[in-house]
Amino acid sequence: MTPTREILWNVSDVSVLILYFLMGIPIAFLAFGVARRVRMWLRGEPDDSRLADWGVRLKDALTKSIFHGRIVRKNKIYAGIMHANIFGGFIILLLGTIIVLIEEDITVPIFGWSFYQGDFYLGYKLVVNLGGVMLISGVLMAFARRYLMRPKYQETATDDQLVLVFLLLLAVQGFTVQALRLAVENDPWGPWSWVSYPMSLPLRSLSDGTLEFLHTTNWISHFLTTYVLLAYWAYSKMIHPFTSLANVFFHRLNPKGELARIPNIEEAEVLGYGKLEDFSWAHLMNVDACMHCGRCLEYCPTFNTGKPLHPRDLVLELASFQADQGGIWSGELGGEAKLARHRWGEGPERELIPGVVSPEELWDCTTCGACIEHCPVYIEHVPMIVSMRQHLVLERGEFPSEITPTFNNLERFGSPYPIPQSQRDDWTSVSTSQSDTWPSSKKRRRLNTSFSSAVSGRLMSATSGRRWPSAGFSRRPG
Amino acid sequence: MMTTIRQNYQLISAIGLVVGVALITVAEMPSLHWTRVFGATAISLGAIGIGVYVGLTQPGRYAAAKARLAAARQPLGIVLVVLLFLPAMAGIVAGLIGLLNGPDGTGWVVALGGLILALMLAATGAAFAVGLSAMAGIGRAAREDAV
Repeated sequence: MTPTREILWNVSDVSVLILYFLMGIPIAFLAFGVARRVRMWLRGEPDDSRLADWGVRLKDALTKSIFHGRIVRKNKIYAGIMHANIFGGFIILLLGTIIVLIEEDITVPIFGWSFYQGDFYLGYKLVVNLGGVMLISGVLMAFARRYLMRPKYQETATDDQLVLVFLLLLAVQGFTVQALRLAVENDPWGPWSWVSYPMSLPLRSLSDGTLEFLHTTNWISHFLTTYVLLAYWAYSKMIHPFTSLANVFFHRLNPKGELARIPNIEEAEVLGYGKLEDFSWAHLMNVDACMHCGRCLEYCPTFNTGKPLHPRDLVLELASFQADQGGIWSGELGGEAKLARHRWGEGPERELIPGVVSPEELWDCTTCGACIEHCPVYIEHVPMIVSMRQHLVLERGEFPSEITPTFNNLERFGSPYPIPQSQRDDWTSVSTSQSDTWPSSKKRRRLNTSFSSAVSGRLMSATSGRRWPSAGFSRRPG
Repeated sequence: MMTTIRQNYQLISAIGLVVGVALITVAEMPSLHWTRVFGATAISLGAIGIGVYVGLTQPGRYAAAKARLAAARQPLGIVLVVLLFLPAMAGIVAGLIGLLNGPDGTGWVVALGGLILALMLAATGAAFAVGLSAMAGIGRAAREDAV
C-alpha cells in the first residue's frame, strides 16, 4: 500500500461547489482593500531615491524581513521567536494547502501524475504538523505576552485580538479535521501525523457517523474561517506581511540621522508636510506598515519620560487619518480607543496639524532616531516629524518660543550659536587642552551624530566661557 | 485594444466570474475535472478585477453598504465567532468524551492524545473568550461613536 490519502474525503460535491463559488467574495474584499491602500499611497509625492539599489533592497527584504533579521534580536528573543513561529507556521500551512491544490486540481486531472504519495506524503505530514504546532505555539506566546507579561508599551486592540484568534482557530481546525479523518480511516501511516494521530485515538471509540458529521462541519468551518480571514486581511494588521515587506524593500538607504533637503527651497510651493498629499509615497506606505509592536516606544526617550509624543501612536494617528481619507474600513471595527489617544473614523476633514497630530507631539521629539533604529520594519518617524515641523516653521511661522534665539542666531550668524563668522575657528583652540578626549578622524567618522553633539558642546564652551558637556566622545553611539 | 479593455474592465471581470462558475460546475464531471483550476483562476481574477476597479476608481461607491455593515459589525462578529468555533470545540470535546469510552491504541499514545486534546480545548476556549471579548470591544466603540 502506498502512503497517501483521498483529498476531499467525506466532503460532498455540493459543499465543494458552494465553497468554490463563494471564494470570489473574500478575494474581491481583499483586492478592494489593497487597491484603496495603494490609491492612498499614490497620492504622495514622488521619491526616486527609493527606486535605486535594487540589489541591496532585495537582500534587506530577504534577510531583515522574511528571515526575521530585524525581528529576532538579541534583547528581543521572546518576541522574535513568537513572531517567527507564527510566520513560519503560517507559511508552512499555506504551502501545504497549495501542494494539495496542485495535486488535486493540476497534476492529477491535467497531467495524470500524482506526487502526493509515498515518502513525499509522509514527509509532508511531518512538516505540516510541525507548521501547525509552530502557529499554535506562536499565537499562545502572543496571548501570554499580551495578557500575562504585559510590557508597558504593549496595548491590545480589537484587531490584535481577532487576528490571533483567527490564526489559532485555523490551526486547531486543521488538526481536528485531520484527527477525525484518521479516526475513521485508520491509516497505517497515521503516526506520521504526529499531532493529529494521538488526537485520533480517543475519537475512535465514537461511531463513524458521528465522526463523519464532525469532520464535515469542521472542514466547512475551516474553509469559512479562511474566507473570513481573507476578507478581513486588508482592513486589519494582517496586511502587514505585505506592507512591512514593501516598507523594508523601499526603506531609506541614507544614514539614519541625515535630514532630507527641501529641493529648490526658494521656489518650492510646498514646504514640509502640512497635509497627507505632501508626504512622499514611501512615508504614506510607512504609516500603513506599523503593526503596533511598540518597540519604538520602548526605546523612545520622550515616551519614557512621560511626554506627549508616543512615536507609535503618532504613526497610528496618521494611519487612521489616511484610512479615513481613503475610505478604507481599516480600524473601523472599533475598540481602538485603548491603543492610542485617538479614534479611528474621526473624520477625513480634519487638518493634519493640530487635528490629527498635535504640535506638542512634534516638538517633543529629540530626533535621536531610536525609534527608527529599533523599528522592525524601518518606519521613518523622525523624517516625518521633522517634515511636519518644517511645515509649521516655514509655512505657518509656528514654533515654540524656546527656539527663537536659535533662529535669530541662524539669521544673524549663519549658525545656531551666537558666534560671528570671523570667530568660527576659535573653538578649536579650546580642544587642544582636552586632546585626551579628542577622537581620531577615523573614529570621528564612525561617531557620526555624536560628533556634532560634541562639537556643539565645545563650541558653546568656547563662546560662553564655561564647560559644556561634549556628549558621545567617550562612548560609541547606541 | 487596451482602451477597450480599460473601458470594459468591470464587464470583463464579471464575465471572468461567470465563466469561472461555469467551469467549476462542469468540473464535477469526472472527464472534465481539469477545468476546475481554470474556473478557480477565472473566479479569482474576476474578483480581483472588480475589487481593484472599485477600489481605485470609485472611492464613494458602496458607502451605504459599508455603513450598514459597520452598524451590524458586532452581532455579525458574534455569530461568526460562535459559528466558526463551535465545530472545532465539538470535535475536541468528542475526543475527550471518547477518552472516557476506552479508546484504541497504546496507553501512552492515547494519554498523549488526551493531553493534546485537553491543551487544544484550553487554547481554543481561551481564543473563543478573547474573540467574544473583542466583539464586546466593538460594541463599546460603537456606543462611544454614537455618543
